[in-house]
Amino acid sequence: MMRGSRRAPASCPDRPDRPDRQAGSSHTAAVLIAIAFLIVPDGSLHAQTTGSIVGVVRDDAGVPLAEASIRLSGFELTAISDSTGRFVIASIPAGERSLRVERIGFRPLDLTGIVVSLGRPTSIEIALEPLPVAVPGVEVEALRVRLVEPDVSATREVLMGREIRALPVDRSADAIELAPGVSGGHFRGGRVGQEVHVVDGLEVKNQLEASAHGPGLELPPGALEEVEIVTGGIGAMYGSALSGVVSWVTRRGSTERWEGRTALLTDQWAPESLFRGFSGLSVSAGGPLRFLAPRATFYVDLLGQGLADSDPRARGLGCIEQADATPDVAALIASVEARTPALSCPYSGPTLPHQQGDKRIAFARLDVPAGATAALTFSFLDNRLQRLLYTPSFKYSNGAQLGQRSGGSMVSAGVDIGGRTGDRARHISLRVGHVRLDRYLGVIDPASLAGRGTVAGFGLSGYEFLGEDAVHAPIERQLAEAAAVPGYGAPGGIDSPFGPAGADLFFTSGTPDVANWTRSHALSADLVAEFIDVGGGLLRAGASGRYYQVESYERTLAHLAGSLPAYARFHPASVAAFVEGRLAGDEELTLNLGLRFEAFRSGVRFQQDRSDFQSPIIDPDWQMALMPRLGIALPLPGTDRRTAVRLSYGHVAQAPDFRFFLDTAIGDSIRRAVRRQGNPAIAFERGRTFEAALSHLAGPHVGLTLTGFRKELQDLASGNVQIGPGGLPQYSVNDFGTVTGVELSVRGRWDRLSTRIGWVVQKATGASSGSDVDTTVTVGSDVTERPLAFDQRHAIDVAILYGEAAGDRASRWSAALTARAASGYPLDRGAAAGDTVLSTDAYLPWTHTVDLRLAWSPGRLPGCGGCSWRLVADARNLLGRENVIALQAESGRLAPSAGTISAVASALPQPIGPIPAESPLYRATVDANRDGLISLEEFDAARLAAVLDRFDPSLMLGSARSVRLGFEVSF
Amino acid sequence: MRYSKVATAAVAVMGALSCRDGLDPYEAELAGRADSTEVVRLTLSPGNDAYPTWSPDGSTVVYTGAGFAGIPSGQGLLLEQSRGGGTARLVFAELQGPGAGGPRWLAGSAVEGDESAVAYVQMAAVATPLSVDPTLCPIPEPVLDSVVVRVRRRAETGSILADPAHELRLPGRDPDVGAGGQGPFELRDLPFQQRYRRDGTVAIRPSWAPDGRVVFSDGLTLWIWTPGAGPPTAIPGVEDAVTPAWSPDGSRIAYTRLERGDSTRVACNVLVGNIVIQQIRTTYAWPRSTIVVVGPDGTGKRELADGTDPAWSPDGGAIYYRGMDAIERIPSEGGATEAVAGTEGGWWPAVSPDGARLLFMRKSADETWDIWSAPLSR
Repeated sequence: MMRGSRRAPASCPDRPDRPDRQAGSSHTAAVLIAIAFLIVPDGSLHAQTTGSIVGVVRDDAGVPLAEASIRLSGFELTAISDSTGRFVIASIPAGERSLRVERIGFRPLDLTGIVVSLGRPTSIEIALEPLPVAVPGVEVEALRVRLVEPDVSATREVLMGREIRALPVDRSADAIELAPGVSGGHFRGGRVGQEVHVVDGLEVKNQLEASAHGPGLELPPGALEEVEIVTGGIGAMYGSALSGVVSWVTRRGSTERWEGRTALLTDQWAPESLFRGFSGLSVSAGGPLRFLAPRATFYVDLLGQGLADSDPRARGLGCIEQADATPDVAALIASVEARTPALSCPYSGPTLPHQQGDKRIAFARLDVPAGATAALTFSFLDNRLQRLLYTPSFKYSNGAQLGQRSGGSMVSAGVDIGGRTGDRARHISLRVGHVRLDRYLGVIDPASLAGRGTVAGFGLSGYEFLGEDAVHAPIERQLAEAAAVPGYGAPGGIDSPFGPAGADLFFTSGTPDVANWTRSHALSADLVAEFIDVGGGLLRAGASGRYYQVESYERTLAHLAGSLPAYARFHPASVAAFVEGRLAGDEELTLNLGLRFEAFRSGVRFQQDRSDFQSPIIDPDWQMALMPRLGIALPLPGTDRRTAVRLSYGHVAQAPDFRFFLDTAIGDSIRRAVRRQGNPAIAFERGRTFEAALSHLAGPHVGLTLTGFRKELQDLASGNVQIGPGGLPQYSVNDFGTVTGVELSVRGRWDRLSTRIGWVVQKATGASSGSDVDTTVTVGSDVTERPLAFDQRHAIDVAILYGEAAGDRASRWSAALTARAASGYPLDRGAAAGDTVLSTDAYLPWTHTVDLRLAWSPGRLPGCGGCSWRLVADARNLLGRENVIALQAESGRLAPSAGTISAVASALPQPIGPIPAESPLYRATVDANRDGLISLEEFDAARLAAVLDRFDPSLMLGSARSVRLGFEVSF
Repeated sequence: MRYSKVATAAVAVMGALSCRDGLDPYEAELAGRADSTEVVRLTLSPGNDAYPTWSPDGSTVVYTGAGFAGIPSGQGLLLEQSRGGGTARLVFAELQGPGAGGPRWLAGSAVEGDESAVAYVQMAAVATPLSVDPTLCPIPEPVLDSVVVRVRRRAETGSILADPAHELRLPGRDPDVGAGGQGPFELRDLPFQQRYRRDGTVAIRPSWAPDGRVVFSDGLTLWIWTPGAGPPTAIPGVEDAVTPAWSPDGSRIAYTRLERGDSTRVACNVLVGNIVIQQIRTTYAWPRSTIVVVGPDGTGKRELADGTDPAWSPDGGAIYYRGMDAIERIPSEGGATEAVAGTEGGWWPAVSPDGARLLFMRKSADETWDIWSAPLSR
């Protein structure tokens, strides 16, 4: 990497004639860092992998300098400043770049650390120092990270790949949570899935089921150049999003030399209390492929993670404790402990059982220049994440368990053609790609699991599911055979410690009964053309099209021969076009105007009422949306661009998840069988967003931004159901809501330290008709108030980076501390009690987490001259806090109410009499006095213990404390 | 580079540590009791567990029991459990398990020598006494009316009706000794019925001969039956015989003789519908029970001792039986008797094929039968 550290002249022994630049660095630096990363029309571009730099060159008196040469280091991209000193360089690969600026009579300058974002012109101002005589030597300056952005009308956060690799995160997606306004996958109070993910300009949104299963594709930290998170003022280039944009830019190999990095991190050697069974290995390498073409590069990154518990919780596996409960339930727990101590929480441990899993990600990218102004890019991404899903009712089963394997791949090719017309740069980008997403939820074959080779938990082979071949067989054959899924069996068994008293609560034989898979293919093509003038003005237009093949299969009660699968295969399509322009005044108002058009067609011909075979067949029309967008950024006069305001307004729309087109019986997360009827005729989910912000640079090291926003959403599809034709529950499309909020962002930057602090408070109100369980659906016009994601919430995110993590490559230390605190979600007692009005007077408690990653470099790796290495320690939930992330709605505690416990216990089958030792139902664990006979009293005690154990609150707690150690080797 | 070496060593140590295995899921504690050198109770059911017998290889105890929560038991389930006790299984789950089509009362089983078949008694409901005027006549005691002796192959899964069977109309409740169905009826209260009322034990015990024949009692007579080959034939000269046991070599049959003593005879008027009929009741005294050995052809009959429910030792040299108040042992040719320790209150002995253990049934404090197992000294 071309990252040079800031070299303070005062400490340069070879340049004693220089005045102390440290003292006057804020003004007399060769580079005046105006921190102006001008974001033209508010968003990056969904066909581009490049950005641009616009700037002006002046002498130290502020006089514009013409004829200055500006060259992008490492690339064949140059510009010459015009008579006003301005220049523009387009087609710059996004990332941290360096410029060489030269002019006769001035000291040459290397400017490093320029963050070029995908699709965005980065604005800089350069001041060259006059030299009366030509002397050798180059000034090297690192560009400061921007602290405020006076020309940007969007709310965005940019994380560099090196920062993400230094953060204590396992997934790149976790780093996104550091952006103010992003919490738990929700962008500014919107629902999960209301954001779009863009990888190198290619939209990879999981259009089938993002609201339930996330983006579907994952990039490893080692493959990232930068990530930009846009939460407000979304530009016209973006569609398919209501609440946010995440733009991922992948790494490319160095044009200079081959570089590589290997990192191993694991808690295998941690003491038991900190062991969670994590092992991760990351290997990456990249460099020039000169035999292919000059400046051709290749980069590859592989990530493997083995997980003994893929979702470790703060309390591990445990049971409700007296402190978790109301006094009457606490007394109940005490009585169980007294009556049958052996059955009082008989199974506990630091991790959850049946949650093992592993992850494999492979990424490769090839960049090949094609002539002086064009470049070809090919990239490949492959994911496989598989894990067992802890199912409380099967926790005592040593047999088949529920598991999920999700994966996907992306293959893309792009061509970027740059050029120049007068003082305008132009850039045309064409990108085509294919994205495949697969997900299989079903019962994992225990035999294949047992015979599977693993290294530190990482499996070399994929999970095998029971009956997978049969489930993938032609649906006509499955319907004709009407057979149970092979290998599936009725859940049952009494071999839990509670014996017959735990029957119907815990299953020790048979299998879970869900078989579900989805598969989608998307072919995408995006074309974008843009013109950028030296003043930062921009005109951009583009069009895109996407064609999908979607398959969805689900079957509940799959152990029953008579249960039939629900299967759909259809071909949605979408098209989009946009035009946008940026009018930029000289250090004055920046106006962004855009217009976006989107259309989609579900491709599902369907019978409006599936319960009536005579109901008409409907072929849905194209749904269309037109979205104007406006953004204004204005540095306040007289503040020397240190204070600025921005305003934005826009219409947003997204096609609903395609899963809402389909009948389904498998819920989002609880996997219960509530059949809902799909609605293929639903239209765009729409919204309007408003935003106003004030930014201020408070001294050389700290910038503050205060943002207020409002988002009005309507026509939202949701998992809530309403009564449809034929009285069947149907996906509702009538949800709506409003989110208003205030965000305060504080950014600090010092030589070896950088900080990001964000505080958000937002209030979201929403409404949906009906309810989310069919047993309580009310027919009519009753409207149940429901929050969109949460109605009022404070969230505080802190990230402190030190040393190498903060960009100081000379430092032996790298430290990254992240802290998060958030007020809890509202506790919906009203809905649980059957009320029609939501009660929001109760909330989950605050949560907070502190994570820390430390790395220290001993120096060169012995035995490898060109290698350096580091020791790494990574601690999660350092304070070991038990964060409560869910409560029992009706009790407001981790424990259910006494009434619920009693109701569950009394609903269980009663024994017809005492159970003797020779009975197959006898279990010694239940026979508290070991007299060979389970009396009715012992049975009752065991059943109560079983009910308490069944309400295991493990999944209601946040992540566990863990410490990992490892090392990194790089060359 | 001092730190570098330390760090290198640390990494080497970390690398040398093997990775941990995944978590082992919970393994439930299994019930079970090992074979014991003590007298142990094999069944703890609150219901009756009775009529123990051995599988020919000695690994399994077969008995009639209750206590299977959730399984419709009727009044007796044919069960088996391992020699050392533990979880019992239904011998014929398809006859008595869930979904078998209603409760069946099976009892008094015996496993054939090659383990391929089981002979057992399917009990009918106890006969309901006719309605009587209690001022004229005492209400008669319930009696066993009829049973079916069946043989079922262990591999069989079909209907019980397909099993070789012999239906027994038990003596003592002769339907119509008069003319035209109007009576008078005769009711004989035989000792085997009295024994059933007193102890709840069934006298109709099938027992296998080495050649595949079965001997059983109808309460008075012993019958020898080749299952599936026609009706049984009575052993001549044997009366008042119950609970037969065929000797291991097939040469002799031991049985219990319930001696019939003096009788009393009364006539009662019984109301059947609107008709008054006459019922003749004969009640026999039951002065003693004895152990008798006889050849299958009725020859060589010899009374050995007072007692009931004989069982042969594996070598045929001794007979175990219920004596005065315990299980006793007597040479099969006669001689001194000897009580088996720890069997007080025991009935219905069964010696294991290896001669090491003795099964017997004994009433618990709650007045229900349970199976016990005692070691035998050799």
